Amino acid sequence: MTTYHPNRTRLLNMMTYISMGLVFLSSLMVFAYARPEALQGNAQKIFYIHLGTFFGSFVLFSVAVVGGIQFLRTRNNKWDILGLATIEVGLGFALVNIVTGSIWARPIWNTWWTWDPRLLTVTIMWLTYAAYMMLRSGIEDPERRRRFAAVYSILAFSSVILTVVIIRIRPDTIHPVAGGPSVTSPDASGDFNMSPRVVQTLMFSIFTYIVVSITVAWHRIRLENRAQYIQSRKVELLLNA
Amino acid sequence: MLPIILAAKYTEYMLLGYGVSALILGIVIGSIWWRYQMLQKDEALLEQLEKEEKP
Repeated sequence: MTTYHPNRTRLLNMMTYISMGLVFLSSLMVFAYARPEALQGNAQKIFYIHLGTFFGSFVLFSVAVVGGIQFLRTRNNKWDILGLATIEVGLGFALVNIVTGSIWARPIWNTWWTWDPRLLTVTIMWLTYAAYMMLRSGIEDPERRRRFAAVYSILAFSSVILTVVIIRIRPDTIHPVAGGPSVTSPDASGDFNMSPRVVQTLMFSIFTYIVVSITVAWHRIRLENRAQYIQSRKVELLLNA
Repeated sequence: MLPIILAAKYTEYMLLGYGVSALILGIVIGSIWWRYQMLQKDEALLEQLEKEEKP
């Protein structure tokens, strides 16, 4: 049965306020500090939330792998809850990443969507994790559901790795690479010439959305703990009736 | 700084991008908040039932 931890609630509240402050500061940097790009204009500003939410979902899906491995090792329910929470919230962040990419593409690529290798792999990644949520809810036996979810969350991460790597190995992608080595930029400088203000804003946005994603996932964990605690109390009440 | 940003092109796409992002993240956070409120109601009902059960 879940117990109440006042210190953890205080820490979560603190994280929530820090996240809110970071979002405010990051918005200030995006709209008032970083200058618009010469060719892309204000459409380039979408790039800050687009990359930030990708990193947020990447961190959450990575944590889900840890949850899966730990569940298979220990069979402790808390790791299953961690996997569920991180994947559910990660899906939301990944959706923001996909939608903002599409909105950026409209003025820059002159289309809302194209089956570029990167767009294809990110769609596969999102659908893989969406399937996790659906398949999970379809298994009634709790022990089987947890085992299945743990194995699935580990295997599903291959779609994340593919999404990260694809723009660096496929020469036919038109998706830009912000940094690190790729076919179009072997010296790891990326496809953009970013001013110091843009780099600072980008780094701060990535940091912000990683912190926000962790905070939201933590709230989701608290919700699941509470739901399971109330469910056990309901069962207890019914048995005593 | 603000006039430079407002003068730049594609402002409508920037606003659309941030608006949709706020909407999606709002739904994610809002659904967690709403489910938590529902659980609190459930818990209050459970406590009431438990009290009624006790003689």
